[in-house]
Amino acid sequence: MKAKRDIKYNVPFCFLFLGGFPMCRKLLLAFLFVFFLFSPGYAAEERYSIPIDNCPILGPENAQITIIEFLDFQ
Amino acid sequence: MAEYPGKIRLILKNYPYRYRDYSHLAAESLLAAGDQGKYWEMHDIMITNSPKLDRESLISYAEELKLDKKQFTSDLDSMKHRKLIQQDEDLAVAMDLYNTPTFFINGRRVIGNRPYEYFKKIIEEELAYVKK
Repeated sequence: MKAKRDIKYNVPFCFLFLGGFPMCRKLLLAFLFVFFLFSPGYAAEERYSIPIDNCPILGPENAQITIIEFLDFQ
Repeated sequence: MAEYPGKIRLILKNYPYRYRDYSHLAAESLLAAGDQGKYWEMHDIMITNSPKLDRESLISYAEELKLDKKQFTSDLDSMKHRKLIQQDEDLAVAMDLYNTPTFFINGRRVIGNRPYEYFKKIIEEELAYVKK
């Protein structure tokens, strides 16, 4: 008896399979359209959250822009 | 910062390179001066005079800033702020930073020294972004 493959390995094949059905093809296209429309947002530059407790600050505490510099003086 | 009055704040994190002679001393010097209220002044002097950051030079800068020389020298020699410096180093290592300076502008990473216009562009973008 043939063992069933884990469903996760069948996902890509499902997309190919579903593309054969007109309605599913439309849904697939709609999904891809929305994905690529919003993917630049997800691909946006990563923002790091860095703790600054008790660090001396130059400038106003509530400034709109915070610049944190990791430096070596030498 | 002069071009954007009141809109930018700057915070420093020490990331002394372990194989440079004076990096840790300079970091300690900054914090020791900070204890006496001259953090940013010491920063400016060291930036201007780098790489002249040996012990005697640092003490001369402290004198120039009219710091308590005895206290400053004691702090320097005992590396009083070793733990704080190590915290910054550990953070940098945890973030996988490999170059100094590395900047984070509202969390956006900028590696290395860049032309002013490069920073200005990011600042303008962030100011527009924050206004939304």
